[in-house]
Amino acid sequence: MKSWIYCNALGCFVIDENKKIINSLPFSEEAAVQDPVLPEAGKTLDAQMHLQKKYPSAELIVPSDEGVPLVVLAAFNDKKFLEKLRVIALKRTKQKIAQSVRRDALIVQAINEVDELDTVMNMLVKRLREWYGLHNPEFEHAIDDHQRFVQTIMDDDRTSLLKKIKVDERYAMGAPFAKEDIEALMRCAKKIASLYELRADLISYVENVMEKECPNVLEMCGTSIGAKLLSIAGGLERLSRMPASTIQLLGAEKALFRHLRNRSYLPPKYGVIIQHPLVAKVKKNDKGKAARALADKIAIAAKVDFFKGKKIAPDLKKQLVDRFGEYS
Amino acid sequence: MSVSPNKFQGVYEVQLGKKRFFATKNLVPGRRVYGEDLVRERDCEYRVWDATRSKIAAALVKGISQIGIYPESKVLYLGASSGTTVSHVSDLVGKDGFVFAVDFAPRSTRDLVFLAQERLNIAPILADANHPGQYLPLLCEVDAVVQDIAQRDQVSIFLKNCRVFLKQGGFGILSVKARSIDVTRKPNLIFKEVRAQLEKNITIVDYRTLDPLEKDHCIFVCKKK
Ligand SMILES: C[S@@+](CC[C@H](N)C(=O)[O-])C[C@H]1O[C@@H](n2cnc3c(N)ncnc32)[C@H](O)[C@@H]1O
Repeated sequence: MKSWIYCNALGCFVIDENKKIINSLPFSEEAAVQDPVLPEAGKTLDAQMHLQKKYPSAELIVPSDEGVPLVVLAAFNDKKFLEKLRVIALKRTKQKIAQSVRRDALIVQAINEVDELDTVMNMLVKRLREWYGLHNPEFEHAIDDHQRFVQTIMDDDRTSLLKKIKVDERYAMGAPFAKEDIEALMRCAKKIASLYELRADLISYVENVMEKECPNVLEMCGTSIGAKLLSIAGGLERLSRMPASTIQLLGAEKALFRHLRNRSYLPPKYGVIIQHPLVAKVKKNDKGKAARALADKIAIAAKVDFFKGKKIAPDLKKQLVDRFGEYS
Repeated sequence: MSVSPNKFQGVYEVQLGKKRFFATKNLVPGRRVYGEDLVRERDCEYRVWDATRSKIAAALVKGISQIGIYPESKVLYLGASSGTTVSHVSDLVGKDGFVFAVDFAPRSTRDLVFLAQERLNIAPILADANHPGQYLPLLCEVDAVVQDIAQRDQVSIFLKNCRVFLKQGGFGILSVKARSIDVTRKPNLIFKEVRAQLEKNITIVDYRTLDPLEKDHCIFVCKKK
């Protein structure tokens, strides 16, 4: 009768054509958990040799993508094996999940948190403006920048702010606020201002991590765009595998799929790199070209960073400057 | 409200007012997995199987004639994600069945691990379905292979796994997302090609498109020769 020697996560087994296990050398659970494919190669070898000596006619088979004879796998259909396999699978999978976390994942999470902060702060400031507008609508109307708005209303009172924008307080539309009314509003303003600080802290944290993990991408893109590209790509490894044409369109997925499904929509020319100073600077007709060239360099930078190569960004940057002129 | 067994063993139908839902008997009574409704009747608790969240449930709604999974089946599920459908398959096969749940995304697999800790018939495996050798040492022969991975080469991955793990006469359930194969071409053409590719290797038992529950998706139920 034909028989096989087969090692899986549970141990090494001699199995015959009737799916029967005729001999076995089980692994300890510790050993079974260790290696992603098979426990310690050395131990496996020992066990295999031992069994091969006892069953010289048994065929030795190793797990591969081609599989093994189904009768061999069928030997493990028993509940007692399944219970053990489950325990090992759980442990291995937990370990692998822990090991899957790379430092670029931190960049991605932090920059996404910045995005969330932007959304939340935007909502909060809009509401604060409405509220403050009851008291001092002229000033609220005069200042567009959210962050500056929050800061200035904390620094000065209505009278001096109106003076700044040269409005006669006697004919202003705002209602007087009592001390407690002002205080409630200012408590909110203060918290919102601290969110701006938090945002700045997060950005500099992202920059620090990028400085170590992907200095070339950082220098080519800047913190915010670089981190966003990493986030959309799903990490440095994936970014490094992307062709420039894909990088150029990262962030424009919606428009791209719309175009692919229905050709009457124009294809997008650029994704988040549209915000890059180089693309922003050039004339409208050159934007596509600049985006293409920039994406080319980012693709190279990402590859070099992923393989922990040396700093090449200054060279890449120079090539862009030579072609399109200085950009900040 | 009333609960009655469906023609497929392990699948139930819940009548709630005018509406009818599919459901499975909850293996861990009292616990929800993805916010689905729980219904009690007599001593049993059932989990409503949301046809907009799970392609097998969608196929049931579309009247598929065979699902190939039975109580006590051992199932290899590829593309387990966080375990929405896996949880129903786990209910269906019951405590004497087993589900090997494979996904290669660490984030979803994290949730899958929590699910498997509550359900003694699930083994969560973080691996690439394109490389069955990676998880072969953790598996036995299976009665059914279910695949839902939305990848360009999903058909060849499916066939490879059926070849390696599926017993003779066992069932393969393949869910195909046309857009992941080619966004530019008509789904029907893609499904036709998939059918041709499958037929060379395996017998197709039934087929359903899942519109409107899942746009541009279809499910093939196959049987290994
Ligand atoms: C559409 S989701 C599956 C949803 C799930 N079947 C359900 O109904 O609950 C597709 C999953 O397949 C996984 N996937 C894609 N390609 C894979 C591969 N080659 N190997 C393993 N998993 C893969 C993805 O990580 C994703 O979680």
